[in-house]
Amino acid sequence: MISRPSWARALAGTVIAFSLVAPVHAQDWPTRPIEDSVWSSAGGATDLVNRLMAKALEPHLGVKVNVVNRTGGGGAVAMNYVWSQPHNGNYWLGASEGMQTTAVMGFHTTKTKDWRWYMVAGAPGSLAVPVNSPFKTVDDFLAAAKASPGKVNVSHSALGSVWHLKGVALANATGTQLNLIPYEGSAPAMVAAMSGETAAVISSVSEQAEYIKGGRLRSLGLVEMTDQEFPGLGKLSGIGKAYPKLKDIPARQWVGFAVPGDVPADVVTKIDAAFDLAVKDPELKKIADDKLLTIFGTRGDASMKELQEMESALSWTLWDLKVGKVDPATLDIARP
Amino acid sequence: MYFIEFLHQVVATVTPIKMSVLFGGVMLGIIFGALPGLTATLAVALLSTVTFNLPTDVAIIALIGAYVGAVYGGCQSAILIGIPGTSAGAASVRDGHQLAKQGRAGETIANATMGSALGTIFGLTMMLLVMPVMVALALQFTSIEFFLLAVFGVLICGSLTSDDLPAKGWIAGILGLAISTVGIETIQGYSRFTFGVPELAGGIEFVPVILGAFAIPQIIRGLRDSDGRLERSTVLSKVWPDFKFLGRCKMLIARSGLIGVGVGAIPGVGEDVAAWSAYDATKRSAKDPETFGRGNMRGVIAPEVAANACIGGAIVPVLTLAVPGSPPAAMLLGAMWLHGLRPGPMLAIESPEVIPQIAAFLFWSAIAMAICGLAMARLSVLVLRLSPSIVLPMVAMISILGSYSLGLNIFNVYLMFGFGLLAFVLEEMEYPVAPLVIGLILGQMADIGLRRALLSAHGDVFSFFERPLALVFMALILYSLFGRSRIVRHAFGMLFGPLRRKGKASEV
Repeated sequence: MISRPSWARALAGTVIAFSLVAPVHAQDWPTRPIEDSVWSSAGGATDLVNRLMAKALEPHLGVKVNVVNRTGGGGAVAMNYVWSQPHNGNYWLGASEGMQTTAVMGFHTTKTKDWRWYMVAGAPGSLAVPVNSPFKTVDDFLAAAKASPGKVNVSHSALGSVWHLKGVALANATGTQLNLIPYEGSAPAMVAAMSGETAAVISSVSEQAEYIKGGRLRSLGLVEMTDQEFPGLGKLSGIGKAYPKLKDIPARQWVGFAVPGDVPADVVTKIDAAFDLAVKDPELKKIADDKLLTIFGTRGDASMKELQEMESALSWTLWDLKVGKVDPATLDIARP
Repeated sequence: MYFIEFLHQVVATVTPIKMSVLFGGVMLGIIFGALPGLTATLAVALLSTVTFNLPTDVAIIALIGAYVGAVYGGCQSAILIGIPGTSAGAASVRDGHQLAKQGRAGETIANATMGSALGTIFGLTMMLLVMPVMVALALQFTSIEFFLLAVFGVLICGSLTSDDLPAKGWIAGILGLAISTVGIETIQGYSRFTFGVPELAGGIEFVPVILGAFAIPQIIRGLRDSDGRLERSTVLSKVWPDFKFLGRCKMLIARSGLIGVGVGAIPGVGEDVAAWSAYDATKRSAKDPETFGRGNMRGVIAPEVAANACIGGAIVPVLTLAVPGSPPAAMLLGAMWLHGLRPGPMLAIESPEVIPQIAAFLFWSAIAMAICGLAMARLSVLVLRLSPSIVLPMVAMISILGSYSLGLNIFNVYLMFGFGLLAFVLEEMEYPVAPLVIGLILGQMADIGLRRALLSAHGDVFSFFERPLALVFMALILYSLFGRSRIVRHAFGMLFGPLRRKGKASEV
């Protein structure tokens, strides 16, 4: 016979139900799979590196790391999702340098200091021209830009992206006026340079490598402070050596992941330990070399310091360009 | 230059894994195609998430198989129950169902199957021939050409899909263009029509819109007309193609194939338009146009050949320009991105093996489709006996899953329902939905293309008239806008009429 559920029964049921989902003690963490929500779509560098890291982390964490793409809103969809889940270390954000501008762009209310950042890898930016371009050196290019201010077109990926800011930094440091034109991503930006719509493109060496090897693009130099050597491309010189003001906007491409800043300390210790081992994974290294990505393996205070500097510089630059939507002053982001 | 590599790939594709995946994909495609409400787009969309963990070439072969199978599968239900399984099969209903009622269902299905297989092979042959030219042409495309191309795609789709007035198609297309402006735009980062809703910041995803626009009206209509007494023909007779008859249709097959490839290559216009255009052309050139609609076998073969030839055509812009030629091709493009392939002008340089490989996949899909199609004809009769009250809830379920699975975002499910209702209302007023979807897909290209073109030309509009490709598109746009107008035709007659007569006179 089925009896009517009474108050007592309901209460007992609730108690049992709660005891089943009661928070697991942090020293047992992780007890269930981790979900890593990548903010950008599958196929890009952020997605690729997160999937490789997930595989590399699994043996050290002892649980599966599931990578899912939660795209949209310039990262807002993934950030909203991860932020609204329990801050217990089970929900990660597949992140990149784009997260340092989400506050000033008004995409999300959290800032760099609210998260804990794990920087896995990145690639330097390069200024490239089509192979048949009259510009043979950076000086040719800059001379043309000085001769006709605002008339030399330079393509780059989305507005507010690291390559857009590299373009702004280049123009500021060299005292030129470049006509910076945003595209949906680096691929169409590079195609624009090849079709002659723009005179040059700024994107990562990693993205340009195939076109340079395929004889379509030619790199004039790195939009960075130092030279760097790449297999198959040779040594590329840093434009910042001749124009030191380039470092005023410390934008750097990086990909990796993040967890909310208030995740329990003993969980963080475990993630840190697994991270330090995983970035040495040979499979990760092999693919990173193949894609000309440099492995950073930066976390904790080191990444926080660098990324907060970056957030401050990028936020104010975007605000001054009237691209930013939220006044960095109201966000308590100090002007660099 | 692609042919040798193509033949090499045809042989290389024959591995147990690839063949079983291919047959699986084709069969799933045929089932999706045959079931009303489940489209080729949906088949490719669902498979692209399922195949995510497979190696790239195995995943792509499954998707191409499903694409070919689904475009073909529509004709089975079209012939047997007179309801096209996909919009591509709609043109086959007219004569195919009549033939089935005359007791020739088996023969009709078999002929249609052979027509589809031949069409697919015709399409891939043309694709291999045209591709090297398209690759060379691809770098001629700058922002202004993309803008004009997008406008042309929306206009031509609008005028071909509306039954009565082309303006109705254009209105739907402009509605789609308007919807595409939602979100943070690329040039200045300004939020348009987002009303502070974070989910809208990234713009309206087109997959839930496609699912909603094509599935929901079907479900609502199914519920409304749920008498369940569909006129069915379950007598099959022999299921074997009449090769002699097909041999006599050589010209018809070639013409329909050309129409299919041509329509497919135009971005955003798909298999349904190809089928109707070929049907129209066949009827016009026939000696006995009055027998069309009463059971003329040519009226089945023409649209089937064109619809499947369209696949080869639609893949050309996907691979060379990363611009989809039809809605299922748009899904295919997305799936390729998902697998790290970068279709576009650089594909032939970056991954030269991909183009002949896809042609080889298409070739085997055509073979697999012919085998499965003939074998499954009897089975599909059984499946189609299921009442709509069982099929339609399944359609609803799959649409919800399909919308959610892209981006794992529940908001997309709401979008799907919203756009489903909008599409239903539009269709009730006899506005075509296809231009709306195409407008949404191409809207970004039109908007950003124009503004970026002006930006890089430093605001100089006249420089666009110096670009030959841009002029060609402008002429095409003007023609699609005014080509039907009597005044323009008359003016053309006035202008060129005397010239032509003069020309003839001087020859004499």
